[in-house]
Amino acid sequence: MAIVEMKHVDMLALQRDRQALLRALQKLRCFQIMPQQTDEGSFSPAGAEKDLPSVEETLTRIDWAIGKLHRYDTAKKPFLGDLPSIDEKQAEETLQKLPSALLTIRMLESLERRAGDLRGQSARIDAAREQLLPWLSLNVPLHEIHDTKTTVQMLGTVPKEALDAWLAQEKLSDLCYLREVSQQRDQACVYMILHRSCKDAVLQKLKAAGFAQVSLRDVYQTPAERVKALDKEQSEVDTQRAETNRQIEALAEHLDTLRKLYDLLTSKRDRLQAAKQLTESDKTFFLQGWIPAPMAQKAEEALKKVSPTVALEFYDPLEGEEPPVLLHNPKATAPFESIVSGFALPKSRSFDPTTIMMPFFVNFMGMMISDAGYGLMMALIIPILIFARKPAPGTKRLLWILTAAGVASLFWGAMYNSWFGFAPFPSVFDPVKNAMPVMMVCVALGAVHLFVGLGVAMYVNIRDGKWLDAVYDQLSWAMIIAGVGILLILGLSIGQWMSITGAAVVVFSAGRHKSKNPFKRLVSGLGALYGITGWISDLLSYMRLFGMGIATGVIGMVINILIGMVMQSGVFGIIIGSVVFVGGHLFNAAINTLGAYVHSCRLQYIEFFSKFYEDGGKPFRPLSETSRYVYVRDVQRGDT
Amino acid sequence: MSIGQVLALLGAAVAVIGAGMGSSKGVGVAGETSAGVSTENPEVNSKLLVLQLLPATQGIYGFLIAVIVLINTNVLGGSMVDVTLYQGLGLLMGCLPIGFVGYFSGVKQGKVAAAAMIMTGQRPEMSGKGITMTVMVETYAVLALLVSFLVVNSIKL
Repeated sequence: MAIVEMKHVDMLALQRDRQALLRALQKLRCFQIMPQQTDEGSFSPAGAEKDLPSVEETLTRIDWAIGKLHRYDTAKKPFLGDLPSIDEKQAEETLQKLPSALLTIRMLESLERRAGDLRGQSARIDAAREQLLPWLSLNVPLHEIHDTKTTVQMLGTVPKEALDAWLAQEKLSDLCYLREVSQQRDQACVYMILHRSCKDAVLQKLKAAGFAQVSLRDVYQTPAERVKALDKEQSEVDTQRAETNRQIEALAEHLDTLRKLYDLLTSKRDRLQAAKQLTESDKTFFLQGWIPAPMAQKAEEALKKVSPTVALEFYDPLEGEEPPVLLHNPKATAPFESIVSGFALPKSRSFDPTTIMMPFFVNFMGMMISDAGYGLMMALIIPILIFARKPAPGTKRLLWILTAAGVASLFWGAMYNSWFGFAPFPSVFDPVKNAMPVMMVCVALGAVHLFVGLGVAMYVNIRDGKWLDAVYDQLSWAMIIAGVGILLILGLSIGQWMSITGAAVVVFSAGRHKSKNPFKRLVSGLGALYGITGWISDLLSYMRLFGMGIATGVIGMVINILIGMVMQSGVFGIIIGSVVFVGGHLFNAAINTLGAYVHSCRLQYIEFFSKFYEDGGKPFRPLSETSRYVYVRDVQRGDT
Repeated sequence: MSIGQVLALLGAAVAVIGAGMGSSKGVGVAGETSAGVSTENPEVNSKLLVLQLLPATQGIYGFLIAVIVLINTNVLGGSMVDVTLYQGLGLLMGCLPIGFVGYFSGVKQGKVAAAAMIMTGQRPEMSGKGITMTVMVETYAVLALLVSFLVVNSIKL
């Protein structure tokens, strides 16, 4: 319940048991190793494991291979399914396959290299082909276009306008022949032959017009022949590429092994990295860390089994030390831990609000979904999904939260008389026709929520022996708000006096930590009293319960009205109407559930937590096995 | 068609147009950012989807108010009831809060959502806080929805 008590643990053991012990710790998943600063006497920081770099390199290669082969994975991921699991024997066998897996990776590497080469070749052929295309109609082997004793022959491109001008009137020269071979956008590809005597003059004109010479001297065929040859080459390369791809695809059958190896080796790497944090002498090593107090005994037994000589010492955290935070709650509220940690973990010596928050969270979410039909479907279908598909732990937690919200939504939907947007029963508590009572209930629930928050703060203060703080900071505010409530709702004048007393306490006490000067204290007390506006906005914030609630019901109603119109137009109308009915209500349920979830979170984080929450805990991260692709079952623990 | 009826329809239009434009802009900005962040870090994609959907609600609120106007004036029933000038003005006034607040909060929420996405891309464990930040903006749209709803629903035709 609440924040698990952490114990310091010191461990002294023999060097030869080191790997076995670290493995055992990893299996236990309850030991967070902390780096040590102390180098007492003969103990010195452990040297880097010599295996570590090679394991890291192998991991990088496996990860690369998984990334490459991933897209050929034919096995479908099951909907909502959990990761597969293997037992330790299978894990051992998988590790035996490491050399063959490395061989696979080497093969994949060379295939990938080949695929890269082929890609390059293909691109080169493409480029060469591209270059030849404009000259297809030239019917001579291109290397024959060269200068002779008296003539100069050239291929090149020139802007179309210039060429047109030359062809029409002003010839480049009398001793120059020009022919347009083809046209590429606004450039003309031209062949020309001219007498050497006019070369310089012509070249100058050409240059001025933007002529660019094209050299294709290395082609010993006519362009058409050459292109044909290139096409043939290309198709050969394509065949080879397809073949290489087929070979790579064939390697995808090893994907499963590679994934398992990835997890197993990552666990090994973590173990080796953990080993860097310990100190050692010749024959022994020393390790410090955190362990949850309830696990201490079990861990000791398990470790003694691995190494009878291991010495363990547990002791309480020192003053001023912040142990890592692990939340533990009863099964019913445990899924809601993710909502608390989604905000921030509480400080190690403060209070875990999960259990006390849970009824409010579920209730608010239900009020905002507020359709009995949606609620019923969620409460029925989601548990079936959980049992049938056995989703991964994180997904499972979320699904249980949604189930609980479904039940609450069934209740509030029935109160609001909204079943899939229909109102089949005579309404008692109708937010659309008679909004006022519903709004009052929303604010009243908000007041209860805020008061519980104050109560928690009081409890924490009293638990820590700060009685006066509880009176000054919480009881005073409770009196002010409750007093105003009594005055406004019941009309009793006692409320007035309660409020005034509370306010007086706030004014005189709020500045007590800030200054010794009574006048300054009074000023900051008055400032604190201004916090009443915060209470008003906090209370009004619960109006969203009403707003989001009617949104669901009214949109559902609109969907039904629209469908009612479509339905009247014959058989097709009925078919289309049914499809729209299912789709429309699914959409409405989905978007409102999302809205209800985030707004319910907000009401906890901003309104509720601000009354008492101390965040800033560091999460407990024990040395554990990696489960990215596969779980390794532990026979001893009886995991299934 | 009387002037009151036209004003009522104008109100419905303002609610849908204002809030719908706000949401379109907001979801659009958020979507662009989501695409960018996803290319860098595809694993956070599902978290980004939630953020992108948050600015979508203003449009739904506007639509909701417009439909209530259309239901109350029986436009959906096929024959619009008679609406006096003052009733029509009242309906129009009722539609203004969600039309205007819906527009601005939709746009701003989109920007906050985009910023939260960038944060989530860099530090996925902060996604809860990003969502909280984004939801803060929505409060005012919910308040506007409430007032619009109360006003529109209070006008008896």
